[in-house]
Amino acid sequence: MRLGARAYQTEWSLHAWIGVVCSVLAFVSFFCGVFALFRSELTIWQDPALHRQLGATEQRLSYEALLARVREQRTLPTGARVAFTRYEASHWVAVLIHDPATQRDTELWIEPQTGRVREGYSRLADELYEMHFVYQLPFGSEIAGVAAMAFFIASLTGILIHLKDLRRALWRFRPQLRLRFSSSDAHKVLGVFGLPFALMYAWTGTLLGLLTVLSGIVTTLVLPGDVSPGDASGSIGSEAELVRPMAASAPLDAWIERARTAVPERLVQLVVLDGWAQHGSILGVYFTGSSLVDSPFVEIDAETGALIRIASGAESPLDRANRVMFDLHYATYGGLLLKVLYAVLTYGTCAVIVTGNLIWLERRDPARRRAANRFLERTTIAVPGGLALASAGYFALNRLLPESLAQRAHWEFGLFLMIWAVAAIAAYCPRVLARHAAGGLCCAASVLLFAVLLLELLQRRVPSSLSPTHAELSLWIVDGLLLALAIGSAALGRRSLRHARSSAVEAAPILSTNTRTST
Amino acid sequence: MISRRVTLERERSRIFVAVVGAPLAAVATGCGMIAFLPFSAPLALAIGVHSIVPLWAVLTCSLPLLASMRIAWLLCGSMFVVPMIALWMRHAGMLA
Repeated sequence: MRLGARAYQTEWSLHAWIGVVCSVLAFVSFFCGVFALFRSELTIWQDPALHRQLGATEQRLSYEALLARVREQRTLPTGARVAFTRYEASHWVAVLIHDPATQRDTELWIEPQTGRVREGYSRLADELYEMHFVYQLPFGSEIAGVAAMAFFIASLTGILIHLKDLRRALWRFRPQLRLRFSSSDAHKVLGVFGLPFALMYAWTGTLLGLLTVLSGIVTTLVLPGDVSPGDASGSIGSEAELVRPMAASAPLDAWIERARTAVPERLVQLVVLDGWAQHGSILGVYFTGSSLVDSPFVEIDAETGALIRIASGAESPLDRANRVMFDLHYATYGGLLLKVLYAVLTYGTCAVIVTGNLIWLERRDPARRRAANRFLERTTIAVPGGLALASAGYFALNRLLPESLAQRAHWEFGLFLMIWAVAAIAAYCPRVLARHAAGGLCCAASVLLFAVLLLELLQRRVPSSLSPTHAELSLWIVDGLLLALAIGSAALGRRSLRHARSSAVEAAPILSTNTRTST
Repeated sequence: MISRRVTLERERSRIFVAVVGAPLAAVATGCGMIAFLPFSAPLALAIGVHSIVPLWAVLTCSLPLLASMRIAWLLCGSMFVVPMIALWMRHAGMLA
């Protein structure tokens, strides 16, 4: 099947323009998407105190005792939201306190067996996860949603323009040719190979990013005065029944036991106390769910302990559809191998984005005569290369900064941003050749990552048995990810530097001939 | 010179209909589906919300392909205006 000449030209322009405009944002989102996939493993990796796993995590916890420990450490503001999260790979419990008045979050980690409290060691996993949907920017989620939509359209137009040679595009790769053709081959091979996955990431990503906006529009236009699409499942309790303050001595454990009875054979994963010492406070108990099916939870009146609702999280067709979208996006429906496959395809998509920009540049302006194209070339190096180096720096800082440093987590993230900014400045410097800048950033990222891995190998204890604990497995998974990144960065850096050298050698005789001719 | 200007304006119109027209038409049509599909309300809500993104993508890819941009805008406009009028009439109690 083949498009007509005019239709082909229109789709080609749409593909190229949308691709170039959204490329940088899409790269950040995809690159950090791999960290988002392995967020729970990174959460364990980032804090050495969590590396050792004591006992089974299935044991019953006393949430009353945990809450008392939190109150010893912090004065809980009225109306605060206190969330207790359990991880399969750790016996520590993460406590997140959200103050609705200041919109500030405080994170603590408590070891239930000893009552030991750990605070603010690192936010590496969370910051990289949030960067996946650019949460650090205002309207970040919406911006990421629009970028995902642009990527979705670029993928569809890519299919249309390659309808005529889709099968050939899957296997033809000629790295020995000029950059324009070799990058075009790489763009097509990786693009066609990962096409179903790219379409799925982009579709589900658009929905997840824009769901709040779409819900708002639907509520305003279709359901004025009704429940919002997010609350379509409804609730049993009425507002009048909920207006009661919560007592500080509330028997949380007894109520959580009641929730366990209501949802048997599932493990408690998250306990959320919403509205501390306030009228209408609610205790939410969230259980481990079945992927693509449900995520059951129970809501309890935090004053009386009465059950407000028992929900599967998939009551309405919209809930079920959203659940499927979420699980497809975050690969929660498969095991470790599926996550690895997602990670490989995601890095492939990153390469598709970068090679797409290269094709634009080599096809339209190989000598980079126009300032806009020079800017695009430098941006294509500064953002992806800078992000790779800054991420490597973030992992290195996580291991090198002293534990006693005040505001350690903030220092880590601040320095991560600073490394990215310095790398970008270096990449934009006109005196540095573009390929030297790209090669230098990739090589520096690789060196840092290998250094982190070396440190890990020196510090890591050999697994005690052939069946490692969940915590040990998490550490090895993250190390594997860092090794893959280090090897990939080294290969890219080497190729860029070699290209720069060969271009300089090729250019030398031409330059001397030109000089002779002019004289 | 004139033909170059006409081509440029046509290109601009193509981009505008793809970037602005397509999402507006997709969102309005999705809302119309939620309100008027002959299924139960929760099912219509799910179908309507989840049809917005594919509809948006398909419109963005296909609207610039139409030979006449006037037809593209007419199609886009009708996909936006008809559901909005129907929703307004429903809100005002003129439609069930």
